[in-house]
Amino acid sequence: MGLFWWNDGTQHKVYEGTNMVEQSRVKFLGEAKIDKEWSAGYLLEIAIQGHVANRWNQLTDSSVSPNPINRDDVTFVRKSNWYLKSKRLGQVAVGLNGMATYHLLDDADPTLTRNVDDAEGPPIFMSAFLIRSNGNFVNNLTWPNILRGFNNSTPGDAARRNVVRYDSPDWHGFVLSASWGEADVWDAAVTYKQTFGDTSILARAGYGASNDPGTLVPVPSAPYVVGGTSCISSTAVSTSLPNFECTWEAAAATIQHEPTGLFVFGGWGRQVVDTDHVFPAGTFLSRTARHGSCAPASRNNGVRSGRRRSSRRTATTTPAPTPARPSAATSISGRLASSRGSKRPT
Amino acid sequence: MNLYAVYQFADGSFIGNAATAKSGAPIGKTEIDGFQELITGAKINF
Repeated sequence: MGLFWWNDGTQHKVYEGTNMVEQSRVKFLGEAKIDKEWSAGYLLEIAIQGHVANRWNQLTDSSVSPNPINRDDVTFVRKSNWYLKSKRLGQVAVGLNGMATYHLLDDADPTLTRNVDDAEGPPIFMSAFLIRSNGNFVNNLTWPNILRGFNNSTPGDAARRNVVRYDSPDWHGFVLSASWGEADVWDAAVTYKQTFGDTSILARAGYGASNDPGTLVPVPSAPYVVGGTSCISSTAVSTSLPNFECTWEAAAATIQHEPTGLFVFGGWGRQVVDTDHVFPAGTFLSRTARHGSCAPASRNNGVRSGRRRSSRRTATTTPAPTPARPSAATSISGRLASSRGSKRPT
Repeated sequence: MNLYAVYQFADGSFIGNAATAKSGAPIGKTEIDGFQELITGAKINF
């Protein structure tokens, strides 16, 4: 549980809830050796969340999400997959799992602060807060309505999906990963981890694509989208179709001086959407968003200050009628801090 | 157990047009008021 003090320039309050960067969870892992090289296993990971802190807003400290897994005091399955692993050939996992670019930006950060505030932290902490302009709400638009990225409003990061995932064995510090899921969601990533003297490096880069905008759950009061990649809207799929294609790419790295724990983390991500959906005549859709933060912090904690700027551009007149142009979003994040004795979540 | 504190600040602007008006975005540029947040808590591993 954490305390969340917020101030939107007009009002301020303190809420109490679960830090949803990494909520409580229980993991069951069973593995059996087949021989000296081969092994097989099954992973089941269950989330246990109390009072969700990424679904409240100025009007209520209760979750405003109609999605059952975003409600208070629920459990749900985060991962459920079986795998076959070879020391020489790598691992293939089948089932509900993180895609190859899942937490791509976050998992390039091996430090302790990753557990409480990562690249997805800023949009998670913005939760469902309504934006204000000159003190007034803007037609009930929320920060997630303005920010982009289909997973926790973080361009470049993918999500957990039903996929077949492959991870190569370590080759001089390099690990290749790729995943594919039904309705054609796929991605690939490379991870590099190495130590040079007192300095360690962890870097990740990846690319993904999807033609599945997800499935609409038509709750009359507040529809929401599950599965797929809701790159344009998390409340509708109609504006994504036809011929929807979403691509994302990201790169991030952490360099750490091991004796002191000092480290620098930087990340970049982008999401681009193509659709033949015809928006109102004379307009095309183009969106960008970027955010960044870079701040000093003290050793072994998650203290960080930052600045997040976002913008959404949809404008420009073109000959009518016209299909939508690509929509893009970019994120840049960075951190300078110190951490020792860290443990990275999986 | 690890104690932590996080501070963040956000602001920005966005530009809406006819395509986004349906979702509630005003047409033209809208400046967003700054939003501050301070999060504190503890992480415990069992």
